[in-house]
Amino acid sequence: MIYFNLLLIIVIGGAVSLFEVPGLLQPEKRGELIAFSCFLLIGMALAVAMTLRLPVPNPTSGIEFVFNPVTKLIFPGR
Amino acid sequence: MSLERGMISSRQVMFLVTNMIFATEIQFVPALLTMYAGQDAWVVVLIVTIVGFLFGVPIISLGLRFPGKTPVEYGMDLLGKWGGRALGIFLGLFFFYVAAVAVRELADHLVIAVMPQTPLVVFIALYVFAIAYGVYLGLEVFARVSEILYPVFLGTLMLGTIFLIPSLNLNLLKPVLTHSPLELLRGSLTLLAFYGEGLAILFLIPCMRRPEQAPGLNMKITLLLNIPLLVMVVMEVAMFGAMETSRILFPSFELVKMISVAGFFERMESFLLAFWVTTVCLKVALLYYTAMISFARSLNLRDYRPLVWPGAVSLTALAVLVFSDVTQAREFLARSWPLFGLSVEGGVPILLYSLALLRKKGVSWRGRQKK
Amino acid sequence: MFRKPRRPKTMEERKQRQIDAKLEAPHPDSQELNIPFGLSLDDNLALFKNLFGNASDLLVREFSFGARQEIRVALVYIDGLSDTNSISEAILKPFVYRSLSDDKSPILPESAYPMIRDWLITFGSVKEAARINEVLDYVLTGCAALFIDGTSQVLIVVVKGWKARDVEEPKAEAFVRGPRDSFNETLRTNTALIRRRIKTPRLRFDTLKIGRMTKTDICVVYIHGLTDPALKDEVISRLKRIDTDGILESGYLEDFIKDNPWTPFSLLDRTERPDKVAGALLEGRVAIVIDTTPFALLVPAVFSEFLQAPEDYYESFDYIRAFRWLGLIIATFLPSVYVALSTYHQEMIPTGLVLSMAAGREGVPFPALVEALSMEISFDFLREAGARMPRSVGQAVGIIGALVLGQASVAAGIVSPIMVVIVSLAAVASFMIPNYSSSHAIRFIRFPFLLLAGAFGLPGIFWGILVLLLHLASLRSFGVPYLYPVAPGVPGEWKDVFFKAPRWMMDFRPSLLRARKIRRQAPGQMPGPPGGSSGEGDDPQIVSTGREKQG
Repeated sequence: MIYFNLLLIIVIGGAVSLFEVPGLLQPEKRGELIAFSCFLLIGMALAVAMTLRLPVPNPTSGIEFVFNPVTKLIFPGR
Repeated sequence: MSLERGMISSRQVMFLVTNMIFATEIQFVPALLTMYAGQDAWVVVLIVTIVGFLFGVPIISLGLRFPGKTPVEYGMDLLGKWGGRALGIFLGLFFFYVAAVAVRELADHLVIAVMPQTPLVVFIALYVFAIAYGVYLGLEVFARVSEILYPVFLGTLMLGTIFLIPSLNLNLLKPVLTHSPLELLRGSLTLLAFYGEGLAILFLIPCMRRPEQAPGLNMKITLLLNIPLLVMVVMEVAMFGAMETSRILFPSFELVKMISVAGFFERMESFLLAFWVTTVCLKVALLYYTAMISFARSLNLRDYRPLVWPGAVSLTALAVLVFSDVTQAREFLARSWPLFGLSVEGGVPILLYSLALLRKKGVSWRGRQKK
Repeated sequence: MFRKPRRPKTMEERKQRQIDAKLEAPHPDSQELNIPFGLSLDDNLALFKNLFGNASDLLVREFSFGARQEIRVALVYIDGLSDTNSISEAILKPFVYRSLSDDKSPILPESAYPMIRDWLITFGSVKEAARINEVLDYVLTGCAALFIDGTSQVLIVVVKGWKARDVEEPKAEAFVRGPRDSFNETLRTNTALIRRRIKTPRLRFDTLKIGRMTKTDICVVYIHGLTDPALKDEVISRLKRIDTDGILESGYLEDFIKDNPWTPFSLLDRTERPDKVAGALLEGRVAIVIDTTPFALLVPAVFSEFLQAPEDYYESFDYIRAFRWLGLIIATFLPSVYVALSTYHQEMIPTGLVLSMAAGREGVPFPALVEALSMEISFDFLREAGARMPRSVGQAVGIIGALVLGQASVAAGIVSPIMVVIVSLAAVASFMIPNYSSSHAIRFIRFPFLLLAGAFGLPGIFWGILVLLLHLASLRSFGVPYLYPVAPGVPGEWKDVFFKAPRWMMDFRPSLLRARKIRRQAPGQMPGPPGGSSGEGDDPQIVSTGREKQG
């Protein structure tokens, strides 16, 4: 099942690249191409890491931790 | 330079922003308000109507100070090139995060309420696809769609609630005003954090065909947003009582379950839920568009479109990642979100506006009118 | 320094030449036959016959005239395209009379040509041509060419006349009230039908020729000073881009000039009714009339227009507009909503209905989705078979279909009776849409919606609605948003969309067509009872009109 999911992620990444990259292969669109590749890499890495059940940090927990002192002050737990 | 010059009307901005705020508000806010303010929840709505209107005034005049420029661009004017870029990336990440939260909420709701056997990620991927398609087609396009869908949704919802009037128990709203100011403040902060997502209007003002109509929008949006919310909150309290409403996960959903038209049209909740989900999609489309514009501006790209589909992959992953379950979602929205949301939604415009006033950058809208 | 701008130009030219070499017919501007005729009649005739390969419909009539038969002339025309009556009356007879006349003085070869041109030919429209390709074009469109020995000039007599269908009732658009004439296959007849309705010199017909082989005449019709000139120029420039061997029907053009080629929805309106074209022109639209087909194109077209029939405007009270929207929704969503409800959301169906549905579905071996899909597909088979067969066979197809699909399949327990009801209701609703092409699109999108309903229930259907609306909102027809005036919303114009307001309320033309003059009629023409405080009672003898009172 994990392999199927990985395959699906790779297929989606490939489809997105096939759809977008041909339009970006112009010298004046170099910036767009780089940004595109970075975004795609981040997304794919995130998806693959989650499929493999690697410990990915949860941003919500981070926010909760940062705001915890103030939160406790205004919204004390019930 | 900017290629996303979708020209939209003030009517479309009104529906886009109202839809954006209302779509998630309706899901959690009644429960959270009754949690803090009990049967006085409707007082909180009235307070926030006034505070929200006042909150909107500086935001809109900030947007009008720099005609045709997005916050990232005048952030560069005010904070310097790199400061503006950092601000843009930060705003982009914030809106991206809020978009992921909204997608997660809608998928959670669907899985819990109607289709428990479907995996969460399927719904997330399905809806993210529709959202990315809309954003890829451009602001103009999903503005038009929200102009159709949102009024129809609101009309259906309000029409449905009319049939609930006979079964309401208004005694449940008594006693009036028994909660302390602190409890009302907690409720107001919670609601205001949702309200503050309207910050995205800063990205819409430069695309308006007639920006001079923006000041009038503040009042329209405030009323269009708060009257239905008031109706829903009062109805939920009068239907279930304050205690029960604060315990139910999705009180509005339970409310529409009660709708019965002539004993024939009953259990409309799946229909209204499915309809509501499309309005959430439009909300996320606006947030996602805002995030993409912020990123594209900060990275000095001409077009945001190449980022849309790869960003959608991240959005899907982030939406799965963002909460472990619906309890964490509710806990976050009840406690951390008001402070986190408000500090960004209030902090960024206040920072930009005060800098603009101090450094005398941009021309105020009234000043330009006089010329 | 000079090479840079030149190089792409030569590249383009080379590319064009390569394309030309692969195509059969020469480019309309090509220089191949752009040469004058010679002086000798025999040579010219031989050249001309050779070009046609002695085709049997090319008629060449050689004769001589003058007192001593000293001037040799040849008449060339295509049999069937030219009016033989006019040829004998206006061309051949004068020559004979001249030869038999009392004037016995010889005609000088150099004066023969002007004499024939100026007073021998008794026909209204006469033209001159010298170049081979010009003469070819004239002869191929039904003119007669008169070759005269000793001159390279060719006299063209425009005696076009071929067998054409009469102006008949429209075949593809049925109606009760309204004018009964329709376009036929001749461009001139069609333009005349439009001109009969709009009697202003500002009605303009800009003509183009498209198609290397067919050289089809295409008329861009608009009202000068009313239609947005940018729209007209855009239409003409899109038409001029077309380079193909032939245009046989307006559908060929449609594919070439659509804004978005990848959509099942039709971005242009087509009609065979001159009153509809005239109405569109008066709104500030542009019509494209094409020779050899009765179907004219109207641009731009918006989605809501496909739910409007010309008859709506002729009947004074009309509630049917709103019903068409309902019909549109039922035709698109009813089968999929049924599948979604019966598969995932049984609680939404009233109890009595759910019991009878369950009773009907008892013994049906398929899930609701398969049942609905198979019914929809067989319905489409039936419709297509009925439309393609000759009329006598078509009726048989209808009867067999009704029996097999309606009766036998239910009796055999393959489908449930309620599914038959649902699918037929949706089919009838789809026939309510006045525009044939857009009802095609509606029937097509039913299939994806059925699949979505089968997979995800109501959320799936609404997902489909969202994507469909996004697609529709992204479409444009010659720059006009396809969902206008619903989105971008112009509530002032909804009076012609969701219902039809009385004529005196529609004072303005649709604003997004950017007509030069937005006002259509004088304001305040709401009719009222005869004015004044007559109070004479009901005696018919004293009742007077308001006009008399004012005067």
